[in-house]
Amino acid sequence: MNRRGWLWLLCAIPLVVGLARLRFDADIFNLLPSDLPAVRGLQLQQQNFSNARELLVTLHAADAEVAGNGARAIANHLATRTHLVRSARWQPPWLEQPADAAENLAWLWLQQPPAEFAALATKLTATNLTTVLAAARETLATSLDPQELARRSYDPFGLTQLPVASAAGAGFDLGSGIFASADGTYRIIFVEPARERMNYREAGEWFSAVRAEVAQTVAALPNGAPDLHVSFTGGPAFLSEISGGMESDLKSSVFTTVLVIAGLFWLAHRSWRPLGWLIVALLLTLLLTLALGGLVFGTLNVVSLGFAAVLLGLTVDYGLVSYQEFVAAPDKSPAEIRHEVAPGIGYSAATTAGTFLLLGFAGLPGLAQLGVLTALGLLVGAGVMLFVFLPLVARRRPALASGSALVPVKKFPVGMFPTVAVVLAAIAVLAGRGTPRITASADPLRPRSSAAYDAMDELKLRLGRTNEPMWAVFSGRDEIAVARQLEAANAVLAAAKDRGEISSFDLPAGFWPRPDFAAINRPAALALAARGEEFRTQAEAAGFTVDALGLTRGLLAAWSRARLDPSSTWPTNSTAKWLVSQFAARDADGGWLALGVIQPTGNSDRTHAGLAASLPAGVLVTSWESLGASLLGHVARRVSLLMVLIALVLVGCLWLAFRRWREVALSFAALALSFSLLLALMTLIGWSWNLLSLVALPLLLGSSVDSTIHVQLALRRHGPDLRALWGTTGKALLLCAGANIAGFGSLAWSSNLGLASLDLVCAVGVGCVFVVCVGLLPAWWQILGGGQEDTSKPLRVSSLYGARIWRAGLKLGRMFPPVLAHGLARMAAAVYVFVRPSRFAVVVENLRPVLGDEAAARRAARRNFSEFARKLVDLWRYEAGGLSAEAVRSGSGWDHFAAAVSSGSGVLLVTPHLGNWEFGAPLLTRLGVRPLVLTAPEPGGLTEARVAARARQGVDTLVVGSDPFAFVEVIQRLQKGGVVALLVDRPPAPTRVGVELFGQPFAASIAAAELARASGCVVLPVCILRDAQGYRADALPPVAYDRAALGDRAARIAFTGRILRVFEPVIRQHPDQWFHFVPVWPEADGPVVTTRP
Amino acid sequence: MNPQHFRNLLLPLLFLLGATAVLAGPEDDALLDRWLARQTNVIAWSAEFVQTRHLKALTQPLTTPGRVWFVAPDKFRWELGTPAQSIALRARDDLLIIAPRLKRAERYSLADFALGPMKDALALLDTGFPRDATDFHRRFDLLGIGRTNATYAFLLQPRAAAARKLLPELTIIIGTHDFRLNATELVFTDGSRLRNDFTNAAENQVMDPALFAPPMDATWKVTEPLKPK
Repeated sequence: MNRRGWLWLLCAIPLVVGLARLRFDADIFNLLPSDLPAVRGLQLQQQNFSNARELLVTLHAADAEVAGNGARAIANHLATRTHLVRSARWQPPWLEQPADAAENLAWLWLQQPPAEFAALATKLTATNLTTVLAAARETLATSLDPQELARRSYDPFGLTQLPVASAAGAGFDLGSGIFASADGTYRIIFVEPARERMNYREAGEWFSAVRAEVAQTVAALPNGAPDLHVSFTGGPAFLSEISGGMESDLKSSVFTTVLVIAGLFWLAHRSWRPLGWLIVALLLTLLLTLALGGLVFGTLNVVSLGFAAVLLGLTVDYGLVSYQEFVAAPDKSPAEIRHEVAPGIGYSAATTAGTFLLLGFAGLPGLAQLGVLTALGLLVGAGVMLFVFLPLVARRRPALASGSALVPVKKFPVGMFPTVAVVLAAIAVLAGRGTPRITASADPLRPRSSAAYDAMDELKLRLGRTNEPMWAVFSGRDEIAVARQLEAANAVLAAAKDRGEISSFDLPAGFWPRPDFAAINRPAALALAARGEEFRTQAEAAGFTVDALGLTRGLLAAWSRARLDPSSTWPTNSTAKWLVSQFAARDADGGWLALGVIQPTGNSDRTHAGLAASLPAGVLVTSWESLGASLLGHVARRVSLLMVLIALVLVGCLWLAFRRWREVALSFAALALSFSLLLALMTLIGWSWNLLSLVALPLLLGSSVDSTIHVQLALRRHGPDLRALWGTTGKALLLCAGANIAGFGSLAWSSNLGLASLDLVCAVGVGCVFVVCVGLLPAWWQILGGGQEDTSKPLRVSSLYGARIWRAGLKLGRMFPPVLAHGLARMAAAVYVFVRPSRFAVVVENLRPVLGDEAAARRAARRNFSEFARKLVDLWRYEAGGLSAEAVRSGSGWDHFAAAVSSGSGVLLVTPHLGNWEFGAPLLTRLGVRPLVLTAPEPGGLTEARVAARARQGVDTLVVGSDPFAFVEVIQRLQKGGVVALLVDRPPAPTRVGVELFGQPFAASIAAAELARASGCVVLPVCILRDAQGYRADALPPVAYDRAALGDRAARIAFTGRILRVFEPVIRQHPDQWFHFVPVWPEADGPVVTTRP
Repeated sequence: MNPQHFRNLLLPLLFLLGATAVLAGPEDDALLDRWLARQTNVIAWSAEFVQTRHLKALTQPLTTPGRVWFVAPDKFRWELGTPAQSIALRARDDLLIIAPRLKRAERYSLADFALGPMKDALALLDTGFPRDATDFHRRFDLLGIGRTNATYAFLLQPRAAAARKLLPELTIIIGTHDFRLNATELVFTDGSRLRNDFTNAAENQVMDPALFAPPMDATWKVTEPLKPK
């Protein structure tokens, strides 16, 4: 395999690993910030407590007996399907296991405060028993309270009168409010899945299997129970329904988007082949992005998969823009077209990707994941479109689009009237009717039409639960820590209830273990247990039957058993286990969680905020109703930072793209008007923002930035020819907008309310962006004089060339090993070429006369940037002490230098910007010569840094600026036989003269000729070039001259030309080391090389 | 007595108060029709009674004296014990179960009962006196009539299955000569029985409205056990 093959293989490995790691989940909590108490609380409640994991099968019949029989039959049938179901309960477990009540009661008494247990023991002393039993008879004779009658009939000693515990804990609340409606015609079966955790696909399959079992049981009921209506709700039903719906929606969205793209493309181009490649490129982009997503995240949420639709919508822009350019100029090669469109696409992808990456600061992990995926996808997509799609479609000339249904417009909107009309309309709507409001409800997370939600609503209605409950989640390292939280919370909630802020609350305080209390109470309990016979005798004497003492016997027996297992913290019977699973769980760290229920009275958000502030630290208060407000508050705190960051990134990226503040400002103006138009339309239609539709904002931001870059760069290419703009970029953007609107619009009927609202906002937003960017922006650009703006290549050195970068480079030279430093520098050079294509074009222009061929010049230019990066790294390493002076070896011609030095006439070393000329200094130092380097002033404090660095190497520097006496010192040094070094190309203005190089006019420094005339020195051309072995310094033969003839300026200019042309063969041999990043060949109508008169 | 069968013990008691006022007829349906015709003239009724509870938990029955007042269409006061240990009071749409000695009361909105197992019985209370035999037969089957020289004993069974599970049988005993209520008896599923024997009954006497006014003030503890949370 060749090198390229290995490279491809190396790239493929992470992609394969990424695809192998890729998993999907639909857990809504993975999208939300887990550090937010409301989210954390709901997550703990949903994941740890059985009632959130249970499927609720609800049955309704006109006759209670039919409903009851149906519930029993279904529960019994499901209980036999142990591979599916761990338990299926249709009635309170204590009705099935009444004997458990005594054990639970005994356990509850042990958990009571010792003072309470002591009071019980005192009440049951031998002398008090007669009074206790008489009171029980009195109650049985006169009470009208049915529960009290029931209780005391079988509890003559009042053992069920617990101080704190709820009756449900002991098994005396019959639980009809949980399992059935008051009239018994509505029944609920609680079905716990056999598997602890299921992903959304597994949940869907499990749900289907249980539904089938239930249907089978109902069909087998007597007469088929025709009026028995069965519904399903609860965690697994919601998970299956929501995730299934969302997945289906997203699939249909992607499919629809692709379909619409195909349709519009056909309308525009009447050609299947490029369309096929476009779809292949889109699918390849999706695949690569998914692989990268798998590599980065491992598991992707189905909502994050929404990136696919966004990505397709944006990436198709790149393909269509490229193709449109190709259609407009079919004679150009793919490389030329890529050269034309790459800046626009590159900046667009980078800007939009940067914006999406910033979504990570919104505080929503789901949004952050979507942002990263979209950003990765955009960069991948830009690469795929430029380097895969474009070469593929450009293999054949495009078919004539004469049959296109999308013909260019005859009259392009010009002038500000349309803009003024749109602005006034938007202002009128927003001023008159306001901006769309933001709703904090969690309803957008609900499906639009959901059998599970309908079933839950019916359940609430039939069981009289009108308010959505709030949950209080307690956590602690052990049972005692949780118990203390429960006690503290009890006081807070009782006060809130007294103030009317909540209508009720249920905490499991009464059924929560207190090992510390139990240890103290156990001896007294054992003493009571030992008096069983006495209790029986006294009760029978008071007229109670043996049956009436069953509970007492069971309770005393349980206390006796407590002696055998004093370490037992929780009761172990099946009734207690079920009860405990409703409100207690272990967390991942082995600590304990407890769950309480709070019923708010009015404003759930305000109640939530109040309770969250007043409950003990560590108690999480949450509810589905308060989730929306909590999330909005959470996001709102970050919006300012996010907006600032986005604005900074946009300004930076747009500046890199345009290099003109006016066009940056135009982009921002287009963004502002697009969003104002969207807000106005939303107000008119009556839409509001919600948790999901807010996601549209960054998406539209990306889309609009994308469009402003494409349009303005196209305007630069086509100038005032707006029809040309429309025929290329405008048409491509129309296709993109159409595809996006159709793609998003297809989700308007999504099964999820939030997703539907998000997509409707996106569809309208994309339309607004298109209208503003393609319809109005070109007119602004023209009116503000865009067409007259100088679009020439950069004439100045890069702003990166300064002391700060130099110092950073020196650090790089010290810190990194050579291989890594070279690699990083070459990578930076490649990135620079990508982000500054105009600079690359300058180098290509500079090298074209040298090589005579555009393609060769481009190849050399690419190497040139890379070589320059390497040269800088080596120079930094040398100056930082990391590279020895021995790295520069003497090449040929140094006998000329020796002869020149020995002549005593002084030596003027001349060289162009070729190779690493600074390395001449150590070589000369090694030869025992202290040279003087002539240099022009460098920008940004670099001059001083360079002078100091050369001084450390034993080299003197003379900065030649506007000081006319500077050369006097140089002449004196030469006259004394010294060595002076001078760069002869790209001179400062005072010494600039026009000569001919490679047959072209060229600006060179006349300084060498002036010094020769003044001092009579030897002019010795030298060059230091990098080859496979390192750096080699060669001296060429001296350039001979007639000193007397140099009195004439023309002769000096001619001499300068001769000096320059000495280097022609060397430059032609090493074009990649001739470093000029500003134009060196004056253009016909461009800057003219000046000569001093 | 099984605890679940006690759950709505109170309601059948109250039902019988209304229902017995209906059953004044001497013979089967004809007796019922005659009683209904007479019943339209009864707008107030009061009596003393002795309640006997035969509970399965006790070897001997418990007896307690008490008093009852009724005003058409839907007011009543039921006192158990002397002095009253428990009071059941219906005023407007509320039913109050009061423990005067403990200054405690439980309030039940009649709407809370509307869907319960005793819906049929409550319907009688809600609508006052059933005025026709059809309405009565829609709710109960007349299993038979026990006759003595002094009384007719109507043996009834609720038609609704849910009600029947709680209260399989009930008996209403009236005097043969004056069609006045003598006693009621409920039989529960576990065999427990509850009987009220009425004496000193008075019809259509003016009653003090204060009898039906809730006695609670701010010092009382009032709870609503069936109020949805």
